[in-house]
Parts: sequence; structure tokens; C-alpha cells
Amino acid sequence: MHVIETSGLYKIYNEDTVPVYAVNDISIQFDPKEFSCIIGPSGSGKSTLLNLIGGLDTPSRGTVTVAGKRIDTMSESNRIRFRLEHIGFVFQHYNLIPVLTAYENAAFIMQLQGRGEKETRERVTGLLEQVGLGNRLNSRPAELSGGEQQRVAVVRALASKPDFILADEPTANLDTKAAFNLLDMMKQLNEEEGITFLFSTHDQRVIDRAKRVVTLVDGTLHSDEHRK
Amino acid sequence: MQLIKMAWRNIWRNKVRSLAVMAAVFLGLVAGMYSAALVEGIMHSRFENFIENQISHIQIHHPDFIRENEVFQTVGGDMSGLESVQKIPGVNSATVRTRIQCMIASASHTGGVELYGIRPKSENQTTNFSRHLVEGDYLKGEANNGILIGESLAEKLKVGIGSRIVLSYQDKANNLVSGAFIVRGIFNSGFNRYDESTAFVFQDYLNEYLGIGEDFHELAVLAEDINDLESIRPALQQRFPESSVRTWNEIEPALEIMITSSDLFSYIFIILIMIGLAFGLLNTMLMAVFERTREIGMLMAVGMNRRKVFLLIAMETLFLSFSGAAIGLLVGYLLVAWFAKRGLDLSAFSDVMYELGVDAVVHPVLDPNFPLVLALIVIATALLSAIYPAIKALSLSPIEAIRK
Ligand SMILES: Nc1ncnc2c1ncn2[C@@H]1O[C@H](COP(=O)(O)OP(=O)(O)O)[C@@H](O)[C@H]1O
Ligand SMILES: [Mg+2]
Repeated sequence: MHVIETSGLYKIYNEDTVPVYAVNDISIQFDPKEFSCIIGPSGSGKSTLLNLIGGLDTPSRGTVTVAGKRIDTMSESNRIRFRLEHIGFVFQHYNLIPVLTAYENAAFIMQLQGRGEKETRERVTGLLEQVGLGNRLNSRPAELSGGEQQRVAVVRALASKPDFILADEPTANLDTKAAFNLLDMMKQLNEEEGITFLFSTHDQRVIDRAKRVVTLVDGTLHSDEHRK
Repeated sequence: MQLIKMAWRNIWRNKVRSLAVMAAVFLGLVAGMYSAALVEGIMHSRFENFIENQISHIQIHHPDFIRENEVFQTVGGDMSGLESVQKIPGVNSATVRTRIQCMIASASHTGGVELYGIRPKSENQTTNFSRHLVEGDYLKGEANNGILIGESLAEKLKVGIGSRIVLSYQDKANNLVSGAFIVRGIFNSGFNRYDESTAFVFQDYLNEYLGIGEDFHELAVLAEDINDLESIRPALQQRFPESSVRTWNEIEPALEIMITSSDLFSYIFIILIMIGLAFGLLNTMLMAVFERTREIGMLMAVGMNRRKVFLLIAMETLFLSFSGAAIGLLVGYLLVAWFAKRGLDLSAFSDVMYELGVDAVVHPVLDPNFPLVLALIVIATALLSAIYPAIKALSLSPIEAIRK
């Protein structure tokens, strides 16, 4: 079964005046354990597509099915609950809560899910150690570098055991070294934890890390390339 | 738990702004509480003075005297009657008076006054009248032709201590009688109108002129406790079955209304302060929500439900107001308690205070329920001002918020 499936998906802005086809008839599937990347020039519809898949936005037409559930027809409050239980998010910036420590941020989603304290502590500390942040547990986001902040965000998404993690240009604010580090870390977690990653980028350097590269042009699917 | 921690830490993100709001809540409450207590204190002092020193708690008259004021409408009795009243449990003191309307004349002026024939000793026990004397002496010694007049009346009559004035009045048989009196003392009760129209002489001396023996027109009773009057009344009524027995609020119904409305004033004052604070809180929290649009959008994106977002913002508002309010209530309470014990010396404004009929040293009075009611008002204010910013936060859309 596909973990993500879209069919005839459209997102059209200003439909009544000058329509903008931000997402234009996209039907695509992603399977469990994939490590896929959506690329395309700025304005090609990457964010819009990820937002639709992540249930942050609703399509103009077409369907989005995640883990066998239609999310395009869900009510707002059901979608919030669905996002909490099934989808991990890493954004480009403003990922973390400034008043919480690295540990508290990473544990945040598990706590929202109502997981037990011991389970949360073990999993979150373990993951933070695994990504090299074992000594930064009590640091506030402002005390962390951009790369470290993104790693905390990935751990937060991963800790809650979602069906997949969506990351919209997670490296956009990082220097080359930090960008490679983050991608390597994501790839390692993908292999070790078997977690599905779907991320977008227009950064040529990180595209090579992906096993599948989906290219968008003007909201349409231009190419879909699986690599070895 | 996590939410409480976040809310508490969030209010410290902008320390200066939060401290300013807390300080405003704190000062508003302290000032509100203190001034309410001060007004209460002034009112109490005024009413206490008025009740205790002028009308007393209970008065007894001939039923018709109240309206008609005729000399012959006396309560019959002798001094054993007064003594028996003084022995009634709950009675602090009592005194009897002869009360007539008369003309008062000096060499330069003539006017009307209400003349009281008093028994100096029991009068002073009951109304503490001698403390109002500003010149000369209180009535003392055997009954004689001494008279006490108010300061403003003395000015009108252009008389001083030792001056001779003439009083004219009707006796029991409606004959016009005149008598000469010597000014022995001049008083200032704080109530100008009263001072202008009231004079005091020995009852025994006056009664002889009037031909009413040991009768009197008015018996005034000061109780141990103003809240006990209903238990004293039956004993008095039994002792004077033919007479009218009235409590202070029956004698001066307006006074009771004024006392209740002074409480009302305190609450209106506090509510005005609270409305000001509510706008301050509202403004601060709306700013906080606006500044954190992206963060709140992110929280909703990753799956924080609307109830929790609402709670987070609402709790921040509550923490912000309660921390200032808790300290404010405490400090306000202690401040009032301290001044209540020590008294606030307003003798710098003694003219005004006198005009108001208030003692120069005011003891702020706090209704024991006031801090509690105040706390409830604060909670209500905070809750009301918490709602709008929290709803505002809910109206944010996660994608709009996350978009760079
Ligand atoms: N809220 C919106 N209103 C109108 N047009 C929008 C809106 N959001 C995105 N777009 C348009 O949709 C297209 C795709 O945008 P986006 O998905 O952000 O592209 P990318 O992430 O690939 O840079 C762009 O042309 C953008 O201007
Ligand atoms: Mg984008």
C-alpha cells in the first residue's frame, strides 16, 4: 500500500480572476521507507504540493490519501488530529518553540500525543544522542546553530513515529556543511528507523542524496526519477 | 503541564512589557483598594460622628412631638427613668433632653435656634459633646444660666465667652418667656448648619422656666453595639409604652442610603480601574499574539489542537494579570490594615475635613468581603480580557503563518 497517494490534484489560486495553477493535475504515489525529493524552480509549486499532502491546505480538485485515509475531505479539527498522529513536519524556519529547551522541543509532539513520560524521555534522549545533540538537551533554540535547530526539528518529527516526515526546504537556511550533515542524518534515520522522508529543495547539492527525485515545473509533474 | 510551563515562560519573553502590565495591575489594585478604604473610612467617620455624637442610636419622644414640637408634648418621667434605661443590657449610656424652638438675641442680631436643655454629665457620656468645644468651658457645676453656642452662631451674634444673650420662648402654658444667659462655651461640631442653629443650656434651669418639672422631650440612647439595637428596643418600649421609640435609621433614613451608596462608590471605582486594566491586558496580549503569528501557526501545523492553543494564550493572560493582582491584593490589604490601625493624619486638610464632619485622623476601613470580591472582579476581568486574544490566535491559518 502507498503511504501517500494523490490523484488529479489541483490547487488553483484566484480561480475567478487570473487563475494561478500552483499544483496542476498531479497524480503521484509514495511508498513506505522512500527517501524522496521534490525539486523545481522557485514558484513551481513544491510548497503547495507538500502542504496539500500534509493536510495543511485543501485542494481545489482531486484527492489526497494518506495511510489509506482521505485527508482532503476531513474537517479542520480532524485534520489537526490526523497531522498529530500520522505526519511529521520539518519547516524551513520557525520550527522550534523559543521558550522550550532542545529536549522539551523534541519531546513536544510526543507529549501532545499523550505518550508516557518514560517512553518519551527514553526515545527523545536516545534520538538526540544519535544525531549528536546529547550534550545540548538543555539548550534553548537561540543557543543552537541553524543546523542543530533543524536536527532537533527532525528528531521532534521522528520521535512521534509518524507515517512519514515532510520537510519543505529544510536546508534552505543552512550553509553547505550543515546542509550535508542534515541530509546525511535524515538518510541514516531513513535507513535505520525505516522512516519515509519526503522533502523539497531547489538546492542541487542535496538532490544527489535522494533515492527518488520528482521534478515540478509550473505546478505540473515534469519528471519522476528513481535512482539506485 | 507542558502548556502551563510554556505559558509562564512566554510571559517572560518580553520582560519589560510584562513587568509593566503587572506593575499596572499591582498599582491599580493597591490604589483602588486604598482609596476605597479611605473613602469608606471618611464615610464611616462622618456617619459615626453623626450617629454617635448627634442622633445617638435610639431616640424616644412623645409620639406627636416629632411632627409638632409643642412644649407640652413631653415624655413624663423623673430621673429614675433615665437610670433604669442606663441599666438595660446593651445600653452604653443614655441622656434626656428638653428641646424647644426659641429666638436668640444679642445686641446686634436676632435669630432662631433649637435649644437643648441637657444634663451635662449624661449628655457627655452619650454624645461626647464637650470635645467640640473650641473656646470656654462645657456646662459645669450646679444648674445656672450658662449657655453653649456654635462658633458660626457666635460670629453672627458677634458675641464671645462671657457675653450676655437673651432667649425668648413659649412655656408650657403658651406664655412668652424671656431669659438672659451667659455664653460659657463655643463649639464647632464640624456641621456648620448645626452649629448655626443649636444651643445648649442646663435642663434643670430651662425646665423651671418652662414649667415642665422633670419631664423631657427626648431620650437618647447609645448602645454598646450598633448592630444590637433590635434587642434593646423592646425593653425601651416597655419602659415607655406611650412613646415613640426610633432607631437611627428611622430617624434619618437618608443616612442609611448614604452608607450603602458609599460601598457602591468603592465598587464603581474599582470597576473603572479594572476596565482600564482590561484594555491594557488586551492590548499586550494582542501584541504578543501578533508577534508570534509564525510560532502559533507552527504549533497548529504540527498538531496542537484549537483547545490547547486557546488555553495557552488564555493562560498567559491569566498569569500576567494574576501575578500582579496577587501581590497587589496582599500589599493593598496590608497597607490598609496598617493605616487602619495607625490612622491617616489628614489634619493638613482639617478645614475641609471639618466641613465634611470628619475627624482629622482617618482610619481607612475595609469591608472584610472587599478583598474577596476584588479577587473575583480581577478573575472576571482577566478571563474576559483573555478570551479575545485567544480567539484571535485561533483565527491564524497555519500555512499563512509558516509562509516566509
Ligand atoms: N496564497 C496564495 N495566493 C496566490 N498565489 C499563491 C499563493 N500561495 C502560492 N501561490 C502561488 O503558487 C505558486 C506556487 O507557489 P509555491 O508552492 O510556494 O512554490 P515553491 O514552493 O515551489 O517555491 C507560485 O506562483 C505562488 O506565487
Ligand atoms: Mg516553497
